[in-house]
Amino acid sequence: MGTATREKTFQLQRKALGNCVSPMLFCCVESTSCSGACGVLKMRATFLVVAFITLSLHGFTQASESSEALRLLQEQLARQEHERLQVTTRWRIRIEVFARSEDTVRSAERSVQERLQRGELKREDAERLLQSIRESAKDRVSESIVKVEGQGDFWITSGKVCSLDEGGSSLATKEVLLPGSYVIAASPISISLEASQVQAAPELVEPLSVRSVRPEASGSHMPGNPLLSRIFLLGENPLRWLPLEFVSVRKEDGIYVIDSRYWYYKFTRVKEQWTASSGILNSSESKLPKPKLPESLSARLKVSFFIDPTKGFAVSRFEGIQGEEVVEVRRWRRFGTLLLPEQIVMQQFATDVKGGERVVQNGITYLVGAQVVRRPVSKITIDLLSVEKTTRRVALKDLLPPDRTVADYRLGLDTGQVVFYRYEGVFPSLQQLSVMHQQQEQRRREASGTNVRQTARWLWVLPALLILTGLLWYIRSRRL
Amino acid sequence: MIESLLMSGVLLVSILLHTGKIVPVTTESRFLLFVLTLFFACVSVMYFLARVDHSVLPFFSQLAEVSYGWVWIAAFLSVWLGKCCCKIWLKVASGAVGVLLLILLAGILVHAAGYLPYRWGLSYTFAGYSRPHGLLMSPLEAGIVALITWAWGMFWMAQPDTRRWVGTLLVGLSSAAVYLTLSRSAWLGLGAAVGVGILFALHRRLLWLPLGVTVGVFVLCSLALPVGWSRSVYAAQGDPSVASRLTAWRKVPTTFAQYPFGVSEEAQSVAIKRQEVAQPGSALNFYIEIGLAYGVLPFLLTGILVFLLLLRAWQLGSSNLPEFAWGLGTIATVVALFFTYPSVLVSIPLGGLWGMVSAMEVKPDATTRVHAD
Repeated sequence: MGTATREKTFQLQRKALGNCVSPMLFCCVESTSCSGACGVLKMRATFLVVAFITLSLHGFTQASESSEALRLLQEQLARQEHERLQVTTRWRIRIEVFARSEDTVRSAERSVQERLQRGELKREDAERLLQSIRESAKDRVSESIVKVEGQGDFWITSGKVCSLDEGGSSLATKEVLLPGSYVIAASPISISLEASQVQAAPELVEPLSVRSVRPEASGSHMPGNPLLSRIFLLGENPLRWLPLEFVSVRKEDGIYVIDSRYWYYKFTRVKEQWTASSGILNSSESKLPKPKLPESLSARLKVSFFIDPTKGFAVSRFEGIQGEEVVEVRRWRRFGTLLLPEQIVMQQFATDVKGGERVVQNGITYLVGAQVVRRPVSKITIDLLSVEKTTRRVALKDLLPPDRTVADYRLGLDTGQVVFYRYEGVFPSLQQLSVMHQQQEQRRREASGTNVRQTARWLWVLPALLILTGLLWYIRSRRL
Repeated sequence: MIESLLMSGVLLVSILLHTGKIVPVTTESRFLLFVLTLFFACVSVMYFLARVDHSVLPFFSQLAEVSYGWVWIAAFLSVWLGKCCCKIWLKVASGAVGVLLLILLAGILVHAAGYLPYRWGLSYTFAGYSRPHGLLMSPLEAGIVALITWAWGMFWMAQPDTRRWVGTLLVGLSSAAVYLTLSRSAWLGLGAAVGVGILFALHRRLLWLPLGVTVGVFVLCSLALPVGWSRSVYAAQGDPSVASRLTAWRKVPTTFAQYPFGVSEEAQSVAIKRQEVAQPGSALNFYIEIGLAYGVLPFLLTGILVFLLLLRAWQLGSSNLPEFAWGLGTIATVVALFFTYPSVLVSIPLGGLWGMVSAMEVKPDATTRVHAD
């Protein structure tokens, strides 16, 4: 290789690496090069090794910086959560559900009528479906008031249930929520209440019909993801819900951003990967740059929490999977040393794919020439009405008296790992619960009488035979 | 404890066979081979029955799981005994495993092209790319199978007849399959084998072609599907699959100290949930998994056996025999298994490959190791 060519190669390598690699390393690369093809190969191999080591070091450095920031956030978010457990707040929740476009409604109606003609639907079901489709063509607004009472160790929330689907029902509920833990009491009380009367809702007293310990997914005070309502309204530390191996932290314009590859989507916990039929968009009302669009797409899962250090490390914004859900604090209110969100706006988006021609390629269906449109589905505005120090103290044992059977779903409602036990005033920790679940399963297996391992002991004959034969051969070999 | 001692005994017999301290006797070897063949037949039937419907036949599924730890060592010994005492058995078994490997490789490539022969509950994806596994359960296993077929292709490429061209094709397809699975353990295995192969190639020019095909196909695939590069970098960027392995490995010394004869099922239900003990199946390292399931002694004996196999692979490479290719395959699989473990189906060709390499003679004029009756 001529000197000029070699020099050119180095130039290219420098350009490729940018500022990541020091010139000294390049000296090493140059000095190891020798003439001929062998030299080129060695040089390239060295280049690759250098690039790999640099990238790895870069990755590790980033990881250590990230963990330092994570420790800081963990402390600050925990502090804020502790303070929020001392106050009682009242919130007005206003839900606006936007009407679906006429085209979409007409197409949905047509589909139902076709299914009715094909006999796939009963007449009553079809009528019910058509009714709900027609309702979705109108804008709907509902409003309710929720009270969140910090009790030091837990929150009591009460208020009217808001629902996106039904536009607000008249049921009132009370829930007891432990930080980083679960709904421990979800007791529908069959009394109709007007929003203004919620503050006078009956207190939870014995006898309660609470017999379950359920995961967060059943909390229903706010539509959409119930976990978000806990983080924004209650001030719960979001890191309690995110396994740290899935979390990374970066700083963007002075704001800490927690990115998580683990999240709670509807009733299911998802990590790493998210498959959705329409979750594919970053920009609204845009034609895709590429002409092909997979009909369904499996996307890398990522959600982001934005933590503002100038607001006492409060969560100021949340961006959901593929930006389908955005929550933002618009105004703040100071209460003592605490900064509380005064107005929270949550927006939900859906993605429609319009037009396009179906083409199957390599087993994947593409919509060629399709247009992707992002439309807002709903807007929820939450206003802080009042805030005060909690004066009334309620003990947990008053809400859930001991000596009763509990069905504990904390190991995962989605995985069906329910543990039944007698509650004696103290909840087992998650680790204890896992052990109890194992024991319960063991008992169940023993009861069903299928202890496979015992049955499979006949397999031991085979290794025993092999060992005996080996021993015999060894003795013979020694004699020879 | 009994299972741990039995596994240790069988591993010891394998090591003694390998080192020539034990000389098999024909009649007994044939009887043992017959029993082992029955065992494989039973395991295969259980394996496929378990896949019919888990709810109807859970018992078969569990039986297959219980026996699976023994499959690789049984395959190892079977090939040893077949090579010594029953060449016909060895031919039939090699043919059957060869067909199985080709079907599995074809399944991986067909899956990579977007067609899955049958619907498996788990889908392995990375950055929107569906990692192919074909008829196997995971891309990690698919990577191991591709490494074995790669070794097979290398062996045929070293032949003087038409098999050379089939071998070239097999090496190319296997290298492509290794890349397309995005299994970093298989990549490392292939990298290690190619690295050692290059050392041998300095003295044997014939080796440059298969190694060149391997590297060329791998690089071409990476250019066509660059997502693989971000998967490599992802390993150092907090990949949870790497983190969970490291977490489990850190707990291994404590686990070995607490359970020197393996973590029993009874112990699993209580101790593992205390989080300080590594759960069998969580380490994703074949050798550690043996330690977790059968105890410290089998772990050490497996280490010795693997070391002897690597030594044999080196000796094969240094000799002028085409069998060096199987040695490279052994190196590749030994490295890959540091980050995964095989299922029942893959344990058969894997144990067979290791058994074959173990039973190989380094010197072409060596006398047979079987003892006449």
